[in-house]
Amino acid sequence: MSTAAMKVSNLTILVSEYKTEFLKAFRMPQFSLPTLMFPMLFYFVFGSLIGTPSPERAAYLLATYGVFGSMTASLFAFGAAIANERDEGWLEIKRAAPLPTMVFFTAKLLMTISFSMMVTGGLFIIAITVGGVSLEPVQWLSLIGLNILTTIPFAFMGLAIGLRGKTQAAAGITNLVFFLMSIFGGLWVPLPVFPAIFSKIAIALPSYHLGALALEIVGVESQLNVIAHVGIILSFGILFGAFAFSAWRHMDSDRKG
Amino acid sequence: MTATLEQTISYKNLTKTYGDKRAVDGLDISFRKGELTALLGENGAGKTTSISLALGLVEPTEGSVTILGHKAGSIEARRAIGAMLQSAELPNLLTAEEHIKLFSSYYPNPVPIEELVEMLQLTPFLKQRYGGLSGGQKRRVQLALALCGNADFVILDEPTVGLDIETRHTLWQAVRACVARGQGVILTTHYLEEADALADRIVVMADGQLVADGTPAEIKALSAEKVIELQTNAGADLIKGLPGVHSVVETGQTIKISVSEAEPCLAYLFKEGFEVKDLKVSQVGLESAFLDITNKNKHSGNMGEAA
Repeated sequence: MSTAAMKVSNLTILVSEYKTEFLKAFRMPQFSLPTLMFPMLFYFVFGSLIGTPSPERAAYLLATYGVFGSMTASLFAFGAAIANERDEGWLEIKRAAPLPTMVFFTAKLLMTISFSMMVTGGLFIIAITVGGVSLEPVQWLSLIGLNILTTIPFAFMGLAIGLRGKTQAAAGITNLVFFLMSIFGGLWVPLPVFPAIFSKIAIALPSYHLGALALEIVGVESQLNVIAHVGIILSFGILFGAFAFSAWRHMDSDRKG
Repeated sequence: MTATLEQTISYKNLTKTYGDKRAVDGLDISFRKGELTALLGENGAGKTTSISLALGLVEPTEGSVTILGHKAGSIEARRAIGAMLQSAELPNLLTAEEHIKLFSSYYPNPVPIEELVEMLQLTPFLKQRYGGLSGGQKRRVQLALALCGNADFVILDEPTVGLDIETRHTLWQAVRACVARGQGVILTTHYLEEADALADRIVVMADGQLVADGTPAEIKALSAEKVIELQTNAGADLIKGLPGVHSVVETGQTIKISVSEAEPCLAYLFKEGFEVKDLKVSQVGLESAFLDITNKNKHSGNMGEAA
């Protein structure tokens, strides 16, 4: 009987694809170390060591570093890593294989969310034990939910970068975007610390709006209302989703043959 | 029996252009199950593009490719194919076994991994990470990914380039076993010996077009030239006039004659009493036979099919 006529459960493929993606990412120190260590290390240093630590400040930075951690995992998993796999020809093998495209992306996203959750867990532990942060259960859960959602728009953005450029260029652009999103989004250091121009630039960045939503969860009010933040994040997600989709569709046109 | 669309990989008037270049130019051909086809051609002849079209990696500019009736690139079409691509690397950080298990999970009826391990002799490095494997071992793992699905068709793009002899023979055996099981195999190569030794059918491409299609014997017969080398006092002009002589080249004392049959030409020279020294008659190698086919195509347009 022809193998074309037989079905394979997408869930079965998703499980093995996810397991493999996770193993691969975990064994790649240039991905797993910065993704797991940077947010926790920065949070520990800025949240608990420098200046005059307080539970309020620890909660503030818990919100922004959570978004930062998810953004980092997502940008690098979908940006630099995809560009590398594309250069190596691995992506071609995957595209030729009977791996449904949606399963491929879902597995990668689940891998990213796993890393984001490990970071979130680590931050929570530091926040409670060192930072003295105390939140309501619904606040903790909301932070978890927001950190999961954060991975999606940056996955699209990473894809749009990773599917276009060559490895070196994509790695450079990913790093640049990562840096701009972190600084101007106010994820590393609170925006009010910087000159006023920073806050103006921030309005254009999804990292700022995700950070603002996270801050709302821990009780810090922002200059815009929640609906505006969500709207801007959604538009950004749709825009880069379209870029990513078009890059995926037109991947063959830059080949020589 | 003629194979229907539902049983073949069918190219229908397929053209793929990159800018001005027609990488594949009006290809019309079918590949059947249970048959090993060698797709032969020089670099840039359009072999890899043809394969990429069947795998759905590139979109045709005109025409279509279907796999068992399904559009190339659809999940059904991809499920009917196991592929090994040219110069494609797998992630270094996964073991050979992890790679194979992952790909087996994509297919509805995979080959048991023990069977693959034995057939491709993977045991010594099955648990090792891909990045640490030798070139030949890496190719075996890539081949395992193409075979693990037990798919209707196995497509191998230049599978033996740069392979050591042992690995090449393992690959040949595995490929023959596929055909014996009823799978269709298409492999591209520019080694004519390989095509000759393995294939049931050889398809020759040049400049994106099909220039010959037949059994290995038929393909070789297309250019069954012999070369006579000798020293003689018969002039080159006289030899040029002899029956069956295609060309005469003089290098110093030696005259090189390309001829369809050596005997009538030599019989004439002996009969007429010409002096003949250092005589050597050789069959044109497969390699030059192949160059001959593709060159003739370039110069005279199309020489048609051999079949």
